[in-house]
Amino acid sequence: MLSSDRTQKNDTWRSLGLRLALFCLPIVIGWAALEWWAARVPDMYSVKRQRFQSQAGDLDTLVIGSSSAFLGIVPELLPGSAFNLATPFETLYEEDNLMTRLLPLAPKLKRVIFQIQYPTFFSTRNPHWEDWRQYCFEQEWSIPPEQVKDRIDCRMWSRLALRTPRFYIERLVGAIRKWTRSRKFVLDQTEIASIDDRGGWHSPKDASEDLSVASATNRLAHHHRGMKADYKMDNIARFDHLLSTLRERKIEIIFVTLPVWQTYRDGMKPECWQETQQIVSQRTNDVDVCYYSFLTVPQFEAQNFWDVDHLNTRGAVRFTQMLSAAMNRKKPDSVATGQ
Amino acid sequence: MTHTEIHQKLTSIARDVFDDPALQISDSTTANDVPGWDSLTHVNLIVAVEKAFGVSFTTKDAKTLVNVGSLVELIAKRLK
Amino acid sequence: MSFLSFNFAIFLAFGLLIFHLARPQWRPCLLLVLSCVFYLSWGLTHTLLLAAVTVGVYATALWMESRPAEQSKRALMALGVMTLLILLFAFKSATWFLNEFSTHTRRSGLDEAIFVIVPLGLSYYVFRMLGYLLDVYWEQIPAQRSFVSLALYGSFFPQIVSGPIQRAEDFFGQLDKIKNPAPGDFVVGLRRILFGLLKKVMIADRLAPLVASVHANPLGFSSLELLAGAYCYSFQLYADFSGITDIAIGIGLLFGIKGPENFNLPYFSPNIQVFWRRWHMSLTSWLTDYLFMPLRMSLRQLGTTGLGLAIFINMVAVGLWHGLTWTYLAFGILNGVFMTVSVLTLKERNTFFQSRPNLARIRVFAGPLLTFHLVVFAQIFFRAESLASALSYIKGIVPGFHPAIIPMRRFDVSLLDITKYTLMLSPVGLLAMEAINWAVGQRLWTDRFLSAPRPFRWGLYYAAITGLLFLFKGKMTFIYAQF
Repeated sequence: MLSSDRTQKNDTWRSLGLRLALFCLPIVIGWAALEWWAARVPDMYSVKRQRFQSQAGDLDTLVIGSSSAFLGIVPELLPGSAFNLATPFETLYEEDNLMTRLLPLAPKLKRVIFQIQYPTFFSTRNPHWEDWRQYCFEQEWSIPPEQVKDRIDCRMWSRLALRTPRFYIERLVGAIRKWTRSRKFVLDQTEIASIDDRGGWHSPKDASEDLSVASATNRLAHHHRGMKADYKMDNIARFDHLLSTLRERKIEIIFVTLPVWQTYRDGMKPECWQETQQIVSQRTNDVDVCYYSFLTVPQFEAQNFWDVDHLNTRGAVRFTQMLSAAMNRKKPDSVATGQ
Repeated sequence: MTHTEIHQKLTSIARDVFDDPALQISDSTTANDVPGWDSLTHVNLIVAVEKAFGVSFTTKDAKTLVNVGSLVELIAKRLK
Repeated sequence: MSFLSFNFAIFLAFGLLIFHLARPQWRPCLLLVLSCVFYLSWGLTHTLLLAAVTVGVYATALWMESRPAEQSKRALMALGVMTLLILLFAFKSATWFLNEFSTHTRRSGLDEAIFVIVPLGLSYYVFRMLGYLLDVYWEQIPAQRSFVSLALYGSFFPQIVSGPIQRAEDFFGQLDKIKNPAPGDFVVGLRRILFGLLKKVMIADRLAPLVASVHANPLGFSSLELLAGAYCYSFQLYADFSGITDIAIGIGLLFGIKGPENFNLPYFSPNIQVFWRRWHMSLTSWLTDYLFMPLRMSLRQLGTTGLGLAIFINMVAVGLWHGLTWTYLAFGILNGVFMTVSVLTLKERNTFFQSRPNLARIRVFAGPLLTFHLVVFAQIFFRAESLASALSYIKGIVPGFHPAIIPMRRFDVSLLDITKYTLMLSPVGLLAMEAINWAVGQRLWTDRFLSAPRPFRWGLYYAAITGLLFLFKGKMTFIYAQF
């Protein structure tokens, strides 16, 4: 009796298994199709990568950094042929790895402009620092997440899991609509930081959002939540590794701090900023590593800022022109000792 | 006291506690079978039984009660 | 990993595959391994804490059973219970301290002095272990000899995030089913998970923005808007919590374990004591058996006062279980008052209505309606961000107390972060959900559904899954996972 019960049960499990497999098949196929589609939808990271790769052979200047540089440095206004590779919420770990991977692709690279801002040495990927972005680096640049436990995640390879299925379904519907209208297959970049400029710069427009104390407090609180003294040593190690990689290729390094609005500046912790200044100034010299800090430069008025710690289009143009002039003059060190 | 005597006395107590003069309980009756017998009134029954029989129960005792039969046995045990 | 996220779905799929392909005698162990892996993804230290608690409870229970003397049994029980309660209290009050003094720690520098995160499922597993210990002390169940079984009971991953709080006896009785789960249970489990997800995504998450906006700034809204917010929160809370309960029970069924129900059409309860027997049933029945009964027994000499006190303390415990804040305390006190009044006057009310049959007919509708409103009122405190905020909320609803600037009857949907469409459809959605909840318990309707042609049923499932994937935001946060 027992054995026939078991075979009966096995049959039911087998039939259940088959039914389940049959049921899941369309879902799996649909998912795979959407993933295929998603790989063709451009986003900030894929666009940057494609544009960089198309220009890499002739590049002589590269801009690396986070959102400040992403919005604030206009590659066209820099001397030579430049590309802005900065992305929002980028960390030193990613920048270090990017450099190692990209240098072989850019044989003519002469200089790298590296953004140093207030959170730079005290932040790393953590939940407050938009940790989903580490998977963008994995998918576009094959730079894996720093922590091993983050590597056991389906977002390493799945675009749908990274940006939600809805995001890609909407793009698909939009593309189909456009095709029915114009017979052309055009893909929108409606993600927030769509890249306007061939050189990788995003023009934030000339608007000025809230520059008040309240807004600065919010922004600083957001930064402070992700900043920890514990991260400093690791970040310095990465920083040094990056410098040595660049130095090996005899590439000139230009550190730069972009302007911030005074409400933000007033809320910065002086000890953190001083430590940052120290770290950078210890590594500058007259020859190939220099530092331009525009933190307290008075020429940047309210109308140059998009928000408390980012420049708008007008500000970016002005900043890049000033930076280019400084680079041309080859002024040795203009390390500001401001807060 | 015999089993039947306890049962009779218990029935009259239960009729009073649950406000049902026609209530009939047997050894297998549980709280689910009697309307109004829930966690809130359970202890009222215990208190009434304690007073009527002059016994005292512990929380452990109250926990082990599954049906009326077990209550009757418990009362009998306590009376000894 | 988040419960639920795509990572969790993949974890579950693999886990199920391994589980069902493995030999039956390995399955409980395998399930324990799965639960460990799940819990480890939330941190090693907290996993070690859970392991230590399990070992401690295992040893205490066996020791307690081996001692014949009542004194030593009681001493061991007291030791175990005290340790568990102190553990729970320590973590819950640490977050309270942090909340009260957080402005100070943030201003004092980058390094945060202490950052204590409450371990995942602490409230749930502490209660499970407490219940087990007390059951062994009261000799309701024998002490569990198999460490794997006890560890599995404490860490069972579908139930550790948000309950339901299953009793040890119930769980241990089902251990054999883990070894040989029924295919029928598997399918029921899948349907349950789908239904739970629908509740969460289609109802709870649609209403969340409205509730969030009114509670963030109660003074900025009119009476009508605040009223809508209060009702919507009651819908949201129910949909969210019953959704995750369905998912938890469903996942348990995939492994052969049937968890206890948490809800039984609570918003149709005729009075408040029945409500609390139909809402979050696993918690309230736990508290009834392990707090209320012992308390009531020790207070029984005080008669009606004793009853009232026991009820009141019990409800305050329900409130504080959620967290040591003023709002949860207020929630507990309110419910304590409602319950005590209702229980102590039930007899009189029944006599009153017995002699007035016309009024009794109205009572059938008025009772649940009144109870529902009492619940909505108390839930304002449950949701409010602070006691002051709750009080301004209530002041805002009552006409006349509101600042004159905002007209009482204004109803501006755009301010409420919700579309008119969603707002109008949500009570419909909720009623539909309740209808399905009710129908699932009725043999007639389940038979009718199951006899419908397979393409029809599968079509429904595909539609549901597509809708869910479309609305899914990557991971879900459940209200009851924070407790």
